[in-house]
Amino acid sequence: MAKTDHLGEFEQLALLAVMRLGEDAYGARIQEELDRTAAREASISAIYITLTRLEEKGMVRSWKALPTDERGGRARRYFAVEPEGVVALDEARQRLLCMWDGLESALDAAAGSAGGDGT
Amino acid sequence: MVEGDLREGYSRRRRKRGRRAADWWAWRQVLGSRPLESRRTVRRANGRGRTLGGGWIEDLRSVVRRVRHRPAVAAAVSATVAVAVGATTAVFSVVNGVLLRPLDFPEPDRLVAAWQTNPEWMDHSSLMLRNFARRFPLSVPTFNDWQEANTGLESVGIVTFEDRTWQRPDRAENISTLAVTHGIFEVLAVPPAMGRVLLPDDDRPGASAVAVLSHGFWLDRLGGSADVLGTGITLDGTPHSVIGVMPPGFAVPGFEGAELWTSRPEGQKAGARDSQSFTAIGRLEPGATVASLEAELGALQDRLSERYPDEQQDFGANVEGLLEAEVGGVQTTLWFLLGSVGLVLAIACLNIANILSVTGIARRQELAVRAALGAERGRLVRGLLVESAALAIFGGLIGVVLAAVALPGLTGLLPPSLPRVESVAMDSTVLVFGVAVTTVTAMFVGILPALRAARVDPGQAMAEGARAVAGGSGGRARAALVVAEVALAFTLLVGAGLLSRSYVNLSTEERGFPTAGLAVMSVSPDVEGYGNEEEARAARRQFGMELHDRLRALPAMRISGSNQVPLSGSTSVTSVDIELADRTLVEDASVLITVVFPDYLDVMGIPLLQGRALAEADGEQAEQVAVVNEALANAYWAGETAIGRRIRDAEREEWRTVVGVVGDVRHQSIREPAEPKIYLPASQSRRTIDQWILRADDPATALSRAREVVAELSPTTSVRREVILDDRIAQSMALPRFRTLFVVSLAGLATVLALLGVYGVVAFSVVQRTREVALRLALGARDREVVGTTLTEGLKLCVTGLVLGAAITVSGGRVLESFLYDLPTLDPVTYLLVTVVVALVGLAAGYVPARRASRVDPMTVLKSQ
Repeated sequence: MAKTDHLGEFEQLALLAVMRLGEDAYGARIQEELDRTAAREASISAIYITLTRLEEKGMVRSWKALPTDERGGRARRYFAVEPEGVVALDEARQRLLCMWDGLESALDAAAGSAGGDGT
Repeated sequence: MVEGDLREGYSRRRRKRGRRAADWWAWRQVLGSRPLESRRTVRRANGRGRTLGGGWIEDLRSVVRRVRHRPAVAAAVSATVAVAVGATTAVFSVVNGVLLRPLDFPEPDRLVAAWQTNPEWMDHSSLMLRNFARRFPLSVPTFNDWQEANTGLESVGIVTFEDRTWQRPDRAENISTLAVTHGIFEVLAVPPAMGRVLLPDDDRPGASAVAVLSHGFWLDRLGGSADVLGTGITLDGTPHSVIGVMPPGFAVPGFEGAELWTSRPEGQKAGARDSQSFTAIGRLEPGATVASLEAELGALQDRLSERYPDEQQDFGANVEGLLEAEVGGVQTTLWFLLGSVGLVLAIACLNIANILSVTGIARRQELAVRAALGAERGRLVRGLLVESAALAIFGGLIGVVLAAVALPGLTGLLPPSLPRVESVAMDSTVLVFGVAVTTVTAMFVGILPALRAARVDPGQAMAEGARAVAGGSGGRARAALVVAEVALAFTLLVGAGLLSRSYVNLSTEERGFPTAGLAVMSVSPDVEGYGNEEEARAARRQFGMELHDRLRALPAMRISGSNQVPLSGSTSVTSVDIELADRTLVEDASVLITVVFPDYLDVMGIPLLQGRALAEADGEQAEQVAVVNEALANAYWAGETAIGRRIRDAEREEWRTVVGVVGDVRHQSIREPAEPKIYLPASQSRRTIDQWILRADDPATALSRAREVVAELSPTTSVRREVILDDRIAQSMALPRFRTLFVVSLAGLATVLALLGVYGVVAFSVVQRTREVALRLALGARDREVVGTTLTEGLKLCVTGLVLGAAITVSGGRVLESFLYDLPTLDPVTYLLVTVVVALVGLAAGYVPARRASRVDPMTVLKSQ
């Protein structure tokens, strides 16, 4: 229903993390992945809030697995990206690439100064 | 789910990086976590499904999280509410017990008390006499007229206090009794625990004397024996037959403390219309009101006034509800105390609103994020309201418990003169009040911060962070709260200042004689068995002389005697004719008449101003003389000598010559200015000396020795009353002292709260302006200038509060008028002192933040931003 919804930065990161983890995409792992790959420290609840919202929009789906001892007898909730999520990610990527087009040289000129937010 | 992930993350980190790192990670996870509200909000926005309980549980969870996060704020809020609600509830329980709780009789609303009004003293300068004139007692014949007129009373009786001597086989004892008619028991409608109460026949002339015992008297003094009914008890030589015992706790309202109730004794000049000593207590007929009864009795009094011009000309009638009659004297004080504690509660609320508003600002960013994440504004407001309400309700409940725990202690502190203290308790009314106060508090403290937070503009808040509020409307709103707080504290401080100064005035008031070491003993000799009045009088006189001689022989004390002693509770007013300098007469001048032994003035320490004191030589056969006080001399012979002037007392004895003028003494109470007074030698008056004054280093021991002397002289005579003057004065000042101490402590509390409030606002604004201060310092401003601006900020708040407070006290100060002794409500000294105190509070509150601001290191601050 929300095909034209724009993804926020953290939403993109979360979707990407889920895609990268494949069949191993659940809360704690997604958190680790974000920390390791994107240097982004996010709280578990923030990740759940984001992914739940994306699920409401039909971009991911989730299911529960069997409980494990390591988790104090609590079940894992696994996530997987739906085709709509992939489309949204692709759109976001395209938009960014368009915006960057022709700016690489200017970026090199201002060498050393750090970049800011993408939103 | 989340918990599972947290556990997994924790154990993995612990394996890889050790326990400390894992703990640290876990803390950050907890502090950084948020309720999963967005999921539901989004779902609602999409129109899919509803949350169970509307999210209240999550709101509460979030409160718990926040309390863990900021325990200091939560503790400060709850503790302030607990103290304020606790104090308010405790004071209310006193108001409830004394003023509001209905009397413990069937249909208490229909009970009334009625008196005559005596026009003679209605406008007297003495408050005591004015009150007496408004509640002027009835005589038995007048009561009979009232009863016959059949006014709107279903039943009615009369009652008066009587100290009686209870003659036991081995000794005589003084007991406090009430002389009543059967109507009193009919009106109060309380059945006896044993036997019967008075019946109409007991009031008939010639009926034998009967007594109904209080439960305490029966149990403690007569051993609680079951066959007490029908036995005899001798009071002032008259045998009374015991007919009943009342249940525990029974007392005639306004006449508490009586040990037994007797039928109206015969021969007590019961028939004389001018022997007025009774209060009427009645039960209204259905439909009748206090006003209708007063109108009817007033009309009746008009007719009686015409018929008996000598005894009751222009007398009126005064009817009051029985409860009001009993507690009317303390009504103003108690409501005033409740109002004062209410002010403290209001100040506490303002303070809490301020704290919450500040923490709300610190949370602006968080709220903005949540708003950005899709949380509805209403939800955010509700969340904040739930948070403040939870803290306030928690505090309020602790407060109510505190009040319940502290109540017995508080009741112990109440002045003993307060009526109905025994009915002060935590009952359902008090609980409802406590809960209501808590609820109002909870709503009040939360609403402002919540509304302010609701206006958060996410974009702006995110951009500004938590720093940019200094001069904004948030700052102004908080400043307004503090100004209101200071104004209320100022009001309480003025009240406390006025009451304290008035109390000092009262306690340092010149009494006219040294009260320390002075005791008074009242002895009424048993003269039963003497045939006529003349013989009895002679016997009394004889007893007095003998007692005087024996008491004089006691070591380590000086003694004298009189018919009335100042400040001891006895007053005898009489009318005299006074001859002026031009030989014209002032007839029926109202004066206090004091009959004394010659050494009285000396033992009392009353200074002689002119002429001579009374002497042994002023015997029965000598020239009739009198000594007057300065007030009388000034009133009638101002500017001339009083010596040699003449006075004739109402008994129309021969003229007396004034031989001396002595200093004034306060007689009826320390509050009442000295009234005209004459002193007559006992040997030249028909009045009996029955008050013995003892002056000793240890008045209590002196009294007990004197009591032994009385018992030796006459085993059937009891000591009626023993008074240590300083104790009695302390008692009479107990209510003003309590009132003063109470309001002073409240004002202290209010000042501390206001100080914290001002400090909070100034300190917060310093934090907000750190960058600005740093810039100014970097640009060359001096420490002193920075301190100055910050101090001025605190002072400004205080001065505005002060002006507002002054407006409140000037317009409302009349509340205090009746409590003040010799002090105007606009006393400039008090206002000046309080202004100084408030200014100091402002400076003190600003000083710490000001110092902090001046120590800002510009480089560190500017680099960090």
